[in-house]
Amino acid sequence: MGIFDLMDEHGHEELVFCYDQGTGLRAIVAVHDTTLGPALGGTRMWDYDSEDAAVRDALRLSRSMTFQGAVSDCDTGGGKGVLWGDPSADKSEAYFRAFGRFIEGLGGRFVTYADLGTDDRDLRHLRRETGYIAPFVSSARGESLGGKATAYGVLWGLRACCKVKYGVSSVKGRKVAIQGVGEVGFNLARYLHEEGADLVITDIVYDAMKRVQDVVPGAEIVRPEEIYECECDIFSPCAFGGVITQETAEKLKCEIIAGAAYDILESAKVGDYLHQKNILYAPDFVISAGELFQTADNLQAATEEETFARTCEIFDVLVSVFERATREGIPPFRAARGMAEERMEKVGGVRSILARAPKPEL
Amino acid sequence: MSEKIESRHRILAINPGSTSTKIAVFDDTTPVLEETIRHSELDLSPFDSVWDQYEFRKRTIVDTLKRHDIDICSLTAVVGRGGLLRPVVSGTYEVNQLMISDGREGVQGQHAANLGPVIAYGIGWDLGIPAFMVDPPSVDEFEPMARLSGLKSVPRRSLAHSLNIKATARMAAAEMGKNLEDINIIVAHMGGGISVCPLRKGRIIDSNDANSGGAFTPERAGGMPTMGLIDFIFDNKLGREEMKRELIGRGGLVSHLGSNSAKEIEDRVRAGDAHAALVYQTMAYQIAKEIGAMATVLMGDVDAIILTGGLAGSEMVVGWVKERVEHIAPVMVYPGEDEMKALVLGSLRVLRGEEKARTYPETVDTLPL
Repeated sequence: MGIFDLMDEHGHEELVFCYDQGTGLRAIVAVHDTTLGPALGGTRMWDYDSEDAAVRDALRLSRSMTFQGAVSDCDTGGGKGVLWGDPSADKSEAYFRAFGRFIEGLGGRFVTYADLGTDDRDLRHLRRETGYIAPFVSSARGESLGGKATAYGVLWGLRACCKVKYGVSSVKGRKVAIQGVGEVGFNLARYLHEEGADLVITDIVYDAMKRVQDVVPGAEIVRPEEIYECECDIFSPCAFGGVITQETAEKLKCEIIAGAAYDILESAKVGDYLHQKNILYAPDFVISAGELFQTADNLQAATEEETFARTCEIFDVLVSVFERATREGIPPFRAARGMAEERMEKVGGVRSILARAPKPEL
Repeated sequence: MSEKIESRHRILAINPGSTSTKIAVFDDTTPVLEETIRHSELDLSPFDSVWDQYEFRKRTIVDTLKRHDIDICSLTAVVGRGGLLRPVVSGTYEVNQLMISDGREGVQGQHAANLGPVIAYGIGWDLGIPAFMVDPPSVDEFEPMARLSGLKSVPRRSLAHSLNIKATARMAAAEMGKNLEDINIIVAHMGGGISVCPLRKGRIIDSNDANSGGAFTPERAGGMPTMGLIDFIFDNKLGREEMKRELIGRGGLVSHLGSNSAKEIEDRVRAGDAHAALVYQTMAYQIAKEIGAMATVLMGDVDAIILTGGLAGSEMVVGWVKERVEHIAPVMVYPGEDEMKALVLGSLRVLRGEEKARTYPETVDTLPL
């Protein structure tokens, strides 16, 4: 399938390829939809197997960001920056400054922040060349809230799932299997432990799991390939996308799937299968919106309090999604997309009204 | 053209000490790398506890391998020295979650060696290869009578240099052309601490606690006259930690002669220092006395006496011990200790299917009196 076919398939507006010979920068910026506002999305750095894989990742994730902004009552569109390179070997100041100049050239259509493989240090280099960096809030100690805010949102999402599935808005006594305990998974594990949940964790990196066990000694460790089959109430993917395939879905013994990873469904067909299997799936772009709430409306910086207060709203949004899904007899991921598309259509329609005309010259 | 060495197993051995981490890489039984990574006070100062040093030590190990052009992906197993864990029977253990949890909690105390299993596990997990622990200091195969002291609330503990003792015992048995499980021997590990252990059919059924009993050592006080010790503590108003430092670190040769260096003291003896000769010979006398006591534990049925550890390289000490104990059984001497090789050999026995890996914590079977 050609690039324009791919863009047409999911309604992307713009796909930008950026290359700088001097620094070795190979970047892709995908702008999915700007109906509600500038395309907001993280910039991730990953050593993709192919150019095609990098392009598809950018297209896929930017679309999720559109839905996330729309369903979460934010005036943002969906975008994604993808740097095709090895984060442990290819980074340099010039590399990020070059990318910053490309972002600046987009004139604000794309606003970004750190994501997988990039960090605050990289953002510092970007900021020297462009102002289109999301002003994410930091804690009083200057630490990024990204992982904490996202994890806090997932916690509220899990409470919503429990309310719908078990009639109680609490994860107390539930067994939660977390796949991936990086920054988000680690914070989620802490929140869940405080709430009285039992934990099973896995990660490809042992140190990440040790970090969890040092604060939650009772967290059980399983091999990455074993996580799908472990007996649990909730499966919480917090690592990679595409992990729920037909094969893994058939192995699952949980009743709820809810995690921070984006695009965990390999296909819509798998989502329908989960629905048939009576597994409640919390749409990823709804439950992982905590990070988004670090930026207030109009892309102004939110305070830490505002971020966490707003993040709690994920509970209500998810409950609405589940109610609509039940009402219409469709899987929740389809209901959530419907809600996002409706808002985009309505707000987009309103924007056809002329709000301010140039003053007539007298 | 370099000759390609065929190796079935490349094993990384890790032995964390308080201010260093010893590492070794073996291709089967052939050493490829042996290095002691020193950690300065500044290096370790950011960490509140030994456990918190995990990432730092692991990173230094990985960096050292890189520096020596050893591809970490070429490893097939990792083994860590065990720490102060639960009492377990001797053998090679697969590192598991309970072992790591016990190391974190310090069930028998906090020591850098508690990091051995968790670092091995971490590296093993990331590479998808097995992680082992071999004969930790908490190996406990005591018979019931060995556990009692004269005060009910103060039991005798099994804490010995198990790793070197077991490895040397296996070597000696092989040299004798016998299985360790078929013979009775006494092993005296003579280093900074001195452990004298009777091994019945391969099991360490008794031992002086190298920190609080047996012979005095270059820097430890060994078994003390109890009443005198009580008076010393109260007369000098010593606290618990201070007293521990007196007994372990400032005792033995250090207390009598101001040095823990066997070489320095032997020079003094050779130069005619009568006091140094008396103290040094007394240490050997106490080791021999302990061996004699352990011979009675084995009811005189002793196939060999093994002297090992750093002091087994001293002709003076070996000579003095030998003349008092060789009437009991033949004396075999294995100077030095090779803990890194012992760790690797323990892993190899499992990897080659000669032994089954144990599951922590396997505790001692109670043997009949």
